[in-house]
Amino acid sequence: MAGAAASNRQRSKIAPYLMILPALAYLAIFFVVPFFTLARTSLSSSGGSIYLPTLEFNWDFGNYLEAFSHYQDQIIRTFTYALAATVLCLLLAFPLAYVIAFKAGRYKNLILGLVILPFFVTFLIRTIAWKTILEDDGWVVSALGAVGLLPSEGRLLSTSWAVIGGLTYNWIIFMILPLYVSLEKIDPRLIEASKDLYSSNRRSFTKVILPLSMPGVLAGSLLVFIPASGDFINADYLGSTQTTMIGNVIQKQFLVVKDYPAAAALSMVLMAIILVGVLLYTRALGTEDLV
Amino acid sequence: MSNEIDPRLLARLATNRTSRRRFIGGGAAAAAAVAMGGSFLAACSSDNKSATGTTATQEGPASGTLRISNWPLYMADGFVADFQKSSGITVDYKEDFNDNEQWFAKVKEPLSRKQDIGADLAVPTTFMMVRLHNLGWLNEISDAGVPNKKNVRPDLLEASVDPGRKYSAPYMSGLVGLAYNKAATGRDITKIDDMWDPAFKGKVSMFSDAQDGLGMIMLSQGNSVDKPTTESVNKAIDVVREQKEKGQIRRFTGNDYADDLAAGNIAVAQAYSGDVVQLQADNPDLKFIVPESGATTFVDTMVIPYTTQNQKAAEAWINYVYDRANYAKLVAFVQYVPVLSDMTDELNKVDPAAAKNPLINPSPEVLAKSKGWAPLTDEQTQEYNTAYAAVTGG
Amino acid sequence: MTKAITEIATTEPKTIKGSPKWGDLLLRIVAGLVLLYLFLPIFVIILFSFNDPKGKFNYSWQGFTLKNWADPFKYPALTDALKLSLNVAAVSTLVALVLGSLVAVALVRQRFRGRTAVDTFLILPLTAPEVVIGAALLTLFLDFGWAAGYVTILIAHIAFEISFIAMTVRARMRGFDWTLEDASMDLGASPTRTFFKVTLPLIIPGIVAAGMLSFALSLDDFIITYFVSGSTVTYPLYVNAAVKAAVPPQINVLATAILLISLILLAVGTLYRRKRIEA
Repeated sequence: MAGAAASNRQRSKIAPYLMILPALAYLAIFFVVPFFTLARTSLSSSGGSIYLPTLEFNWDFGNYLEAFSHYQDQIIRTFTYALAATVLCLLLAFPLAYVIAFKAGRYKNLILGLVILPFFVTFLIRTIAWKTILEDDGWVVSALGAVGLLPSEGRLLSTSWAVIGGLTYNWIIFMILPLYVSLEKIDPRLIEASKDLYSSNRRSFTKVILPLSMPGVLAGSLLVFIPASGDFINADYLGSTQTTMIGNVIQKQFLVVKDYPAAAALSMVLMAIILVGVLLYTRALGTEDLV
Repeated sequence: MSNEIDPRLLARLATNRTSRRRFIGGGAAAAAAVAMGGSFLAACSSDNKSATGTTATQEGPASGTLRISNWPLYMADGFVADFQKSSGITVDYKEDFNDNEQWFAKVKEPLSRKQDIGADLAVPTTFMMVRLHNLGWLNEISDAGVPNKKNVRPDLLEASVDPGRKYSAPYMSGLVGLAYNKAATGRDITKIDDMWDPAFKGKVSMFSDAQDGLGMIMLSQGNSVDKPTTESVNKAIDVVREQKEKGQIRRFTGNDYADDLAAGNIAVAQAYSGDVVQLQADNPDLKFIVPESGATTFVDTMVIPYTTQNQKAAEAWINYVYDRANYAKLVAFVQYVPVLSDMTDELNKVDPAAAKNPLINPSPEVLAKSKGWAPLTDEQTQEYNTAYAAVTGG
Repeated sequence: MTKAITEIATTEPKTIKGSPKWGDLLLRIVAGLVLLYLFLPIFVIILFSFNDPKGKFNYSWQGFTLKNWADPFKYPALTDALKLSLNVAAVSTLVALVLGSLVAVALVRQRFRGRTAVDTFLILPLTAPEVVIGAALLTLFLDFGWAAGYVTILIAHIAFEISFIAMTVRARMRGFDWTLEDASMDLGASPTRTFFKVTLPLIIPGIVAAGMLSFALSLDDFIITYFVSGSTVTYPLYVNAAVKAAVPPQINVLATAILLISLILLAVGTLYRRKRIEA
């Protein structure tokens, strides 16, 4: 990769460990311990009182089997939605990030700031506003109906597309910013040179710009796909009875049914699938590390 | 024969709300509240004196700080300030109670370890109160501390969930019925079967809470919520499942049906009476009915957790709420069904339209058709919740 | 070498010359449309801050009024919750930035044993569902004997922000020219001085971006915050609870106010930079 150069210097052996120590120690206490509790619960069976059950750890994998057998639909649906949202985010974010990085000139920081502003308004208020825009009798639905993109009795809200749209909108900033920081680093003279070299813009893009922006694409995809997979609130507000995601199931099992081992097992399954997916993805992109 | 509000009443209600808003508008809010509170203070100071007089037989009057955890916007403007003035108790009023099960999931751990949860008084719904009591986490509310308890409606005082109301003090009740958008339905709705009209396919919403959602269904099937059984509950769930699979039901909601209803995305919704009163102010097409076969009621109750740090202040608050003149202010603002008896006179003084509104001051006939759920055992709760969650929760 | 460093190290905005006009135009139009998409709900929110509902909900347009803007702090609980959330977001972001950036730099700069493990480990906090982690964290805090409140909210927020920050900063650092650091040290600078004078300025955009993301995350977090907050009410907690009972237009007013203030700050910052460059 042009511009990249590894250091030849013999570096301090201990420096990296010192640098990662604070974060690791912090996460060891405030994430690993809760995670461990979760893992333990997933392999327990509950008994005794319903609200304060005694959890007996007994390597009970039944919860996992149940997770897979009962909730296949939701699992598949969840990852379909998350994937769709990630792709949409990428398609929408790339032009914007590119323009900000290379064409915005002195207004770069201004537009960047503009881009993040909508996300300082809390999620619920943004979603209510979207529901107002996309309401069944609103102008958006009517316009789409007139053009024929929607059946006459069709609606946008309470559909899969509404959920995907919600996921896309709420996580797109996590694609725009990493893409931007990755693109902005590219020396524009490289791009000019590539345009001179390749006859078409498209090849300049696929041969030079895209590969150089890969770190941003990778980070952005992960930062969108992973949280979107665990999301439940978009399906709650924008979805219908047929669009429940695994996050909704976990919520229900935990809060209402109070089957803590089941909720824990489902969580572990969710995390495992995401991890596997991420590993495959990074292999496919040809990077040696995960991020 | 129909249970909707007379449009003329609606108009009166709307104008009254606007005029009250103008009265309480802008920066005059604080001043107006104090002024209003002041006059009521004069009216009910004698009552309060007698209240503190009675508690003086214990170790002195209530004082100190009282921490209250209530649902959002379930309180009238200036009410807390008036209480602070008349009692001398400092109130730390928090509106952080937003969902019974979520709240329970949060306080269960501290309460089970007898650790403070940051509230001396909370306002859970009845089923949650029953659960807390069964777990032994509630303090008894002394009769000496709440002499105004006699003002509570007799049917609530003797309710099977807490006979004599030793552990809970009803705060506000409401009807769980059907709301519909007349512009979206094109006709009046009167019974449960109307929900399943194919014309409303994909435009119906139901509650995701088992008791609120299934109650009226069970009543329409001739079963009672007073003596629920596995069969009667499952029979109702079967209907819901069937309709969900047909695509009739658009969403299962908590309290978040209001915007869909107002926008016309939902034509018929299971709803709470107070919400609809509010929505009607801006959208006269919305109607609330008690279905022909009956509706259920909910009662939110004030409880004192056993980790409370100021039992006497909590009781003083409950007593203050139970004064009819004070309570009228609450009802006029919150617009739900009062838990005190004989409220018409006091309501007339504060908000005559509220006194006449059948959703706020229901007639005895409507009240007769509205049933409350029996207190459920833990096993029953678990069973019904799990069965219903299988249909709603995905 | 110095000239190269200066050229690359400058944060001058860059432009590409010599691209065909129509492709350029199309690109800008698409970018503009995406920006519009981002702001569409914001316009609705701003509009409804001027609404005059008679009831407690703010769902249907009734009429234009300025009275909400005249009394934006009508609901003290809302204002307090907002102030608290801004505070928590700022503090947690600062701490998490330090922790996360250090990790990012360490992971990219050199190979060391356990690097892949740390890599994988960083992904985990992102994958965990909030409801179960929130409950587990609460149990942990109670086991420690800590009361749920401001501090526990901070701790929880920092925990989930670290991974986001690490990954964003790394996106900036991939393909970094580490020989720049070598050059600096060859010229006699100590490793620390090199880090602050050479490395850090080059990754600042990544850190700023990560900070913005972390701030937005913290401001929006609901479920984990709900469990570990005790009776403290943050902005999302208040809004989520309130929305079920009422949607006072003041929520829209305060949201719009935040946007306006941020916009003004941005504009001022841009003007200031321009003056500095031109000077």
